[in-house]
Amino acid sequence: MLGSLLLALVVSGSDPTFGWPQELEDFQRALHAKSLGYLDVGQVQSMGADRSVDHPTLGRLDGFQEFRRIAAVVLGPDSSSPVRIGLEGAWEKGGWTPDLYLISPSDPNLSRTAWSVGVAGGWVEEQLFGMAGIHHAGDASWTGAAGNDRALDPETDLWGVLRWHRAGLLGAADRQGLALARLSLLSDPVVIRRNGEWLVPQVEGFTGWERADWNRWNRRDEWTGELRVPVLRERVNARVQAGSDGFRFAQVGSNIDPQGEVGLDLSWSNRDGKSIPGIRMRIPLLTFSVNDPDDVDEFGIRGGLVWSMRLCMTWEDSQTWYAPGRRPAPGESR
Amino acid sequence: MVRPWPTAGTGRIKMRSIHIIWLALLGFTGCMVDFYGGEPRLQVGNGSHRWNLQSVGLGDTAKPGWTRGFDPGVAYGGLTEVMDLPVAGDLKLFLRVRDASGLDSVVLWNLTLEVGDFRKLQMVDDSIGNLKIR
Repeated sequence: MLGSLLLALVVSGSDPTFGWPQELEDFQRALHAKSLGYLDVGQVQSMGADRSVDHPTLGRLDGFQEFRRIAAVVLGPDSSSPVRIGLEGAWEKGGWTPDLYLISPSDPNLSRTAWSVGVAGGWVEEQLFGMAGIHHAGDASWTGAAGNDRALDPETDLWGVLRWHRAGLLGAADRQGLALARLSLLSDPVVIRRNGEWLVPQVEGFTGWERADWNRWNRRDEWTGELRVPVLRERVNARVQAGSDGFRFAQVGSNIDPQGEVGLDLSWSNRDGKSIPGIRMRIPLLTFSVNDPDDVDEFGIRGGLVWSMRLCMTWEDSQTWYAPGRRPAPGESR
Repeated sequence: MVRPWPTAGTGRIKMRSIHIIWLALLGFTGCMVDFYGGEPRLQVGNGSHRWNLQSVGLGDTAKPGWTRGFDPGVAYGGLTEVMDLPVAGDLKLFLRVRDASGLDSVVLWNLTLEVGDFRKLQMVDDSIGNLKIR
């Protein structure tokens, strides 16, 4: 029987900061009981200036948002061990800047640094994987000659991820109560032979609830749902997300190589009445996006152009790795 | 019966290739820093017979976020150099001016500039001798 269950739980103590909700979802989708590790190094930046930030004395400023982050999970290297224990660590830094930058932003800028540390464990026979930790975002303060006014207070969250087989629950809560609840399911892989070709289609989806402050688009608490389905063998797949606020985005992914490591994904987002076309290019280890729906969720539109670059991977063993959100062989019942 | 999952990548990671890719991407990002940005620029001309321009600044006059002083002040017919401003947007600009008796006054001006914009302001006297900015 190939039936399975995926369970995830996230407890967060604050509004989402930077791309942390995105990172937690990637933890949930990418890691499993036999994972060896996970690495995400990324940068997201807006490339069109928008007038969205009020400085205490200078006025309402035109500028850019730029964020950088690194997150890693390393588990015990003994692949024969029934239990793997590991560590998680993450660092994020970014904010508003009057110009794009490579090393450090020019003054004045509004900057915030966040970090996370956690523990992880995988129980192979039970097909159980869990993580728990702390996430702290420091205060967001202006720098420069105009003063060091604080724009946002520090926030500290507790979070956890739990995953069991192929279905699960994702949740987030803070001092104000539940912020996110999500029930997700990855269907049993069904092996089909058609015209001499083996196909293993799987459907993945979730239904959930988000509190109004969970992302920048919600005006009130929203129900949401997402479905990912194969369309044309392993080459083309579709992803659709909608909420009680209506259609959110559709994404068509195309795999140029049979392994799905090289691909081009096109999307169309509709958030807050704005339609946003997006494109994402995947090569081994690296993903480049412009107005990717996940980035738009986290960072907004920001001048009409949000660009991201991520190195993201999950290790199964020292020689086997997966790109973001990929699934290990279903025949191995992970 | 079950073949390897087609989306599972397998292989050794070539660190040298990764380093090269990352260096190329960082360089690409660095190039875009100047391509997409650009500091807004400002120039002020003095067409006032009464007032000398002493300094220009942004933000709070007591604690400006940016300021540029002129010594000697910019007199009638004079023109400041083109100044790079640190920010663009709806800005709170002030001009510190001095009359013949040595009395300083501050003129506040809402200046709207986009990234990369250039703006020239002109100080003039109106019909009753008050300072105007246009």
